Amino acid sequence: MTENQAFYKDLGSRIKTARKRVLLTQESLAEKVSLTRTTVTNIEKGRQQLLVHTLVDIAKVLNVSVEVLIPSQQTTSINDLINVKVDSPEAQEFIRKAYDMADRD
Amino acid sequence: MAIRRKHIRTTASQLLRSNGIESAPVEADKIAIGLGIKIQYERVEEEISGFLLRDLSRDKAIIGVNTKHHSNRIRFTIAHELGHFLLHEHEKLHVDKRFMIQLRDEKSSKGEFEDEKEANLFAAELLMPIDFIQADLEDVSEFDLEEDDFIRDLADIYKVSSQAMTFRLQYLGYIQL
Repeated sequence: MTENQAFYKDLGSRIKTARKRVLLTQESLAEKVSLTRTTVTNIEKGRQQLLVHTLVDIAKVLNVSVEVLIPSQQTTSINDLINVKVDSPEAQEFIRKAYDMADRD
Repeated sequence: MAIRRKHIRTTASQLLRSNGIESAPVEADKIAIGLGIKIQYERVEEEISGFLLRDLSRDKAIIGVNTKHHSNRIRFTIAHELGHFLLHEHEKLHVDKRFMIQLRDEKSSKGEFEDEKEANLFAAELLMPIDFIQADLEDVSEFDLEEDDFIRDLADIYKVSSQAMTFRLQYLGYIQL
């Protein structure tokens, strides 16, 4: 997986959280920003990379500022990164352990 | 984007010079540590050979290596991850699996594939620098190069696998496969 996928996955989950906060369904959000429900699902899952103006529309509908929805390097935790980029549990464990060990000294 | 051959050779040779390394074997681990990278060794029952993790928020980088592999392989992995560290700054976490280093895997995009090739070339330039090889092969005849033992002995001096040395000599035009 590429770095971008981690970004869009994070972005998507932020959108989902914000949507739930204002008690909207994917369908009603889709309607308000002129997208299909499938597109909204894909955006929330990080499978689709959305256009900037769409992001602005979504933020407006969800009543949050755009910045809240955009992942920054500081907020993507190492743990999330490992989960997104590494498939096997053993490899995940290997990386986490090494990361913790390096933290100790 | 094509492989940045010149840039890679320059990067590796500058690193050797700044570390005062003038002969084989090149200790890639010491070079990495000198750059502030931590190396973690762990035995993992898996095809994973190593990884590079960059924690930008805390200005920290870690290279992890699987000690299940042969020591020559471990050295190559460290040099390979060091290549990613120096050449591919956009990437925060990079995981290398055993065969991915040589073969293209179905999922990998063209960009990823080129990153791998660059990291491999960097590892070769660092562990088997052209100047060192030239000096070692100065008085060697073409006939000697065809001996299997010769390449194996040379690989032993550089502490790399015979396979890695064979690729390198081919890349530098000393042998034809």
